[in-house]
Amino acid sequence: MTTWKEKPGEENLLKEITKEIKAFAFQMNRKKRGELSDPIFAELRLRMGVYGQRYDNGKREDGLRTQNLNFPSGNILKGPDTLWDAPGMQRIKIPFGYVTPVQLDVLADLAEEYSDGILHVTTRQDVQLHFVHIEDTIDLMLRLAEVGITTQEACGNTVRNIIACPNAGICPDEAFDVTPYAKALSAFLLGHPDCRDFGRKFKISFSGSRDKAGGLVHMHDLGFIARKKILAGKEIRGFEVYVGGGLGAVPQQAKLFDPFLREEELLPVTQAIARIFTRLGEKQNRTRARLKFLVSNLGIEEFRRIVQAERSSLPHDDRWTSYREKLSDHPPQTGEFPDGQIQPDGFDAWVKANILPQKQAGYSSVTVQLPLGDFTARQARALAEISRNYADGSLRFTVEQNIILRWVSKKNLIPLYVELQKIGLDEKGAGTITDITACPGTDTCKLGISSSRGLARILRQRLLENYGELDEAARNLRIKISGCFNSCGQHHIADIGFYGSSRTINGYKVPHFQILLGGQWENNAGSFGLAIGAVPAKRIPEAVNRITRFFVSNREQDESFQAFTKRIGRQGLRDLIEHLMQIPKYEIGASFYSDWGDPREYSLRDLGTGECAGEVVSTTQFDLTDAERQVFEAQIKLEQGEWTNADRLAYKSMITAARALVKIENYDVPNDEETIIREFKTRLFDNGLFADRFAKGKFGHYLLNRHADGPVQQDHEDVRQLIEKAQLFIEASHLCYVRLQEKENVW
Amino acid sequence: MVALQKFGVKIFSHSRDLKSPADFIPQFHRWIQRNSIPDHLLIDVVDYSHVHQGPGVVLMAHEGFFALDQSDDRPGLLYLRKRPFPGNQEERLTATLNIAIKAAKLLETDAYPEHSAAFDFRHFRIIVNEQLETPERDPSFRTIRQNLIALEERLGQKGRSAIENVSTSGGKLEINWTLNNTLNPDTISGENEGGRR
Repeated sequence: MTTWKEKPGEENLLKEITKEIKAFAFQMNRKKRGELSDPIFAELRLRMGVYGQRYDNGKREDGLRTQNLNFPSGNILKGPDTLWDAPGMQRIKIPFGYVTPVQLDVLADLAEEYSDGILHVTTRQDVQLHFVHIEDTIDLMLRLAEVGITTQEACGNTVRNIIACPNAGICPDEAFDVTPYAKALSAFLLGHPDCRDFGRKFKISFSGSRDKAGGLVHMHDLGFIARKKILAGKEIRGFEVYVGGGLGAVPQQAKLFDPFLREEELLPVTQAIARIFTRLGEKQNRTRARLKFLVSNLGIEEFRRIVQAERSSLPHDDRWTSYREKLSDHPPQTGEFPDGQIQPDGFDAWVKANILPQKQAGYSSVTVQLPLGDFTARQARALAEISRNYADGSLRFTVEQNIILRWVSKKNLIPLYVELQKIGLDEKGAGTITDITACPGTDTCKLGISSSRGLARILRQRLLENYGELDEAARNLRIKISGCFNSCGQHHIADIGFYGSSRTINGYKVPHFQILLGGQWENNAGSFGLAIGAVPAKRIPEAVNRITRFFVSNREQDESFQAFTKRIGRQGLRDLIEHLMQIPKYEIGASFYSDWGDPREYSLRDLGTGECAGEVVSTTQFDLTDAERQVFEAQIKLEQGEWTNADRLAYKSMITAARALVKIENYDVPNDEETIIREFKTRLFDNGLFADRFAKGKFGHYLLNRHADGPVQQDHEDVRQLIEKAQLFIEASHLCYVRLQEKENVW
Repeated sequence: MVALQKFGVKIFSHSRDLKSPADFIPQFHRWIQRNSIPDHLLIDVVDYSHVHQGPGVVLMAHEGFFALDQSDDRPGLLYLRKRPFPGNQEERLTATLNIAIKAAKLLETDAYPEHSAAFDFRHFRIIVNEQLETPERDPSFRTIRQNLIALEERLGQKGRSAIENVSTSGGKLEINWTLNNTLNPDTISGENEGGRR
């Protein structure tokens, strides 16, 4: 016997998972025979974690022309506009980021055999393998099943990977270890009939404490923070429960659902919420199908009432509480090593940033920083061995795309560090400014607008070069980067966040990043940063430099970055970067017109949108720039507490942008709100011209809804959201302008 | 015993420039523009230069990928085959070798004068990209050894090589193949040359 296929068989595999895999294999064959429609098969494969990747429509801009990727299987599709042979991404669910060394060894094998040898940790504690052929996915899934890992419901309209604080069980500040609860809920919801008919994805998280980042509860559809109470002299465990949070294009903080939900109610109440989401959640309009919209529409009081009624009607399920019989503290499994070890170079600095003392005396957790969340199969195997020898025989992936080793005794710190040095994973600075989170972006994602990883790579490099000279206040900032507005890089909760965008300058498309400052990572994603402006991608390192230096020079005593940004205000911060928004002409500075790490002239064609060419700024561009100025002013007004003015300006900015587009066809359109709305609707919205392939008409609705509904409710949160929407409407207007130019030869 | 399907070949480089694989990104993009590798659908370039001793920069194709691999701190061009070749094991191995050598030769000429990409065409790492129970002891090594000896005979280099199993426990079957004389792609031919699609 030589290969895994010849190992004695199915008794080693989890039967339920195997059944699903086989069913998927069956559907794959049906699809190849043309017996299954594209949309249905797409949803099926997404529910098995089989994702598409950039260029899977068979087209790629190669820098000179649109290249046709003529795969051998021809036009057989694996989803709408997604070619069968095109490489895809396999997302692998790792509940609360927990893996054993055996599992990690298998992941390493799979990365080598089916992917490019690299394992990528995501911002949801998953692992992704890229460039995987769909025909390899069945074998891949079966091999994972053999070691107890599933890819089911990693994508699609499902309960996604449940995340939990990676320090659960060892954190000095936690109420109790949430690990077994996260585990029980993951198992309970996997394939549950009440979770199969959502209109959209559903994200859940657990935290052990309120104040730390933990599981970032406030940005989740459903989040649980561990709490304890004394009732009748007895300590009772429960959870503070939040619902309706989310990042996405317009982030929203979750609302308090229950200040103390008893632990035995965790599973049934979650099930009740899932049923309500299934029954009452939006299904047709995907842009409004997340739970946050349902909670918002109903109001938290009514939502709570409905869920409680649903909970009361649920038939009993033993699984709700059977897991509690097995709750126990996880025992450490460490080896003993002799004293008298010599401290290697760099050890002290590494300890300072990468070690967290556990609540259990004598033990620490170690953060292994993975650059851009990537590590090789070889590193994976070595980490598996390190975990066996020096930690507790497990590893946890984190949402910051790192790995945590736990239960490391003091005696084992040095030998562990030495082993990490051998595999190049001894980098210090976990959780600091060099530990940059970035989504895959334009590297592999079809929705990527600018290169989040390219930017992360260059920022890391430059910050590492100057790390020793950075003031500690700057060093402790967090940077997060998304390739587009969809927030997979979690840019909203960073001190300094970026999301990819695009501008037309001198007739060329130029990659940009919108800068957001002052998001709060702690307090379970306590608050979101706000945009101060879009800067060309190649100027971002300079922007980071200016912002951090300004912070260090102007902060008051121990002022946090959040407090600092609030005090300085948006205008003051924008002043720092305003001049960076200009770039030289293409003939003088061609490098600005390509993205980081990509020599091709920057293009949005890989998104399916067109390009323009021209030499001077058009009236439309002037007007769109004016719209941007107005939305920025709205942000200032918000900051000053002038909600009415902020609302008015945000709305006006959308009217300005809409008029800019309408004027392309009707130059004499009066500057009258009703007429502009009517013209926008007729000329651009109803006929789909404003919609792009991915966001569809979502952003157009922002204007129309505001027009129909009138001023938003006068509170900070509602006005802030309107401003976010206005920003996105303007971004969409830019893209619409590009498409119109290509389509109509418009100037 | 299962016939092995997927091979990789790494050709080591003398050149210090290859330690900065990101510098070769423009070359790989040009290869895509020009369809520079016969019988390969070139798709994209992926930068992993931030990964310690990782694949460096990868040129991804439908059939497999080419990487400026940095593993063991010995840079080289790695070609790893993903889609099957027809033919028997020896033919698959030969075809993989052929493609790797041609790609390395192309990089040598194409990269110059911006960068130097000089390869050593006497030292090869053969990789079996399939999970074996115990690669360091696997009988597959014997069959591959036979394949290489047969190839040497065809090339007139019989008996003038060293073939060593350098696998580690848990990893892939990896074999060092060291010849006395440089291997030239024009002298290697196989029925599966270039890998038909």
